[in-house]
Amino acid sequence: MNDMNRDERLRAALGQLREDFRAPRELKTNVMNRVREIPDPAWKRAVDWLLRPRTVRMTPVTAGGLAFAGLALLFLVRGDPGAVAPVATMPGDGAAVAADGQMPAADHVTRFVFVAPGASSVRMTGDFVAWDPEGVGLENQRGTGIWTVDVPLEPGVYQYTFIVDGTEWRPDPHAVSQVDDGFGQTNSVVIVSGNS
Amino acid sequence: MSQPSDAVVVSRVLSGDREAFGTLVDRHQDRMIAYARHMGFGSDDAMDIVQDGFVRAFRHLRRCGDPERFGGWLFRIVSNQCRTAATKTARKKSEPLEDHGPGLRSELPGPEERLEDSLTRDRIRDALDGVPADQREALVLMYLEGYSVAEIEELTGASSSAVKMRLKRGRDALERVLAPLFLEIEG
Repeated sequence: MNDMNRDERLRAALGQLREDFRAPRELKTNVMNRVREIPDPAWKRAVDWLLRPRTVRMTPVTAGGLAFAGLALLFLVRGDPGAVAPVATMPGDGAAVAADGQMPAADHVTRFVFVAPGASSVRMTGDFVAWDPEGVGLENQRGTGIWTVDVPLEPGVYQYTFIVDGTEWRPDPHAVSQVDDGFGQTNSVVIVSGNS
Repeated sequence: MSQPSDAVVVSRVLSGDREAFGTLVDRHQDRMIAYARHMGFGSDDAMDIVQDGFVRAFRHLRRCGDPERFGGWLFRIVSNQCRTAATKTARKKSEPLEDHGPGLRSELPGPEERLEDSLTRDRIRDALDGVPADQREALVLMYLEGYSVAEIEELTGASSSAVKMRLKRGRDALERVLAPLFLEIEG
């Protein structure tokens, strides 16, 4: 018997064992329950804490001073290509940047940080801009893939989400909480307190 | 609306969106269960193995070198889980007659033929179970799952020559054991 016939004979024999197996429905439930119970590693908790949106209260004079300090610091580290801009790694200490000029004036500025190394653009939208798809643009901090924006927000609770490369809506993994938007997506929540 | 690729979903999970992992489970669970069942595990053991495999994949997701090929990486994890489980527990025998799918015949067989089919399947199953694990894996992937040699290389991480050698040895071993059966069938 030649190799072709041998192979066909074996294929036919083993074919008798073939069955159309389907995963039971509870498999996914069990996996996801176990996944949810796995605690975040310490570094992740630290990163969450660092990247969580923060609100700072500042007067126009303070904002101007911080803006000047931030620019000076940026100028000082510009010569070192490996350095990460301090504004990206120390949330809340940077200068307030008017977001596309559409934000209402407020003495509270909330810094949003999103890490997306491969993205070519990151924007954010939320109820504070009536979910305008254009939203607010984030700035890639010196090409590090750490995108930030400072948004003036009055005290309150806001929902928001990031938009990566104009199409992909992504919740903020470091937000204090997430809520279902009712359309199968997740919105992030930020609380701006009046006494920051 | 097109579904996000595995790489995009992996990226979401890594950036903290745990629920996105459910998409990966949806996409790959049937194939992983089928593989574990075809490797000879009963439904409960296969379920445990695949669940453990997914949880392990979640824990070590950062080590997935090529997220676009998450499926192959997951397969290697589940395949290793199968090997570990096989050394710990005796594999369960085939499921009862009623649970088997159709055999080679297209028309519905009568009771005697069904019994004959079942006995034949048991002999083939026993023969396959007797083949060394790496060869059995290659045979299952090629003859039961329908993968090509190149795809088996990718799934198992073995070289092309290793896959071909496993297939050849596995086929030879199976033919030796099944020779009497083939003689009976072919008269």
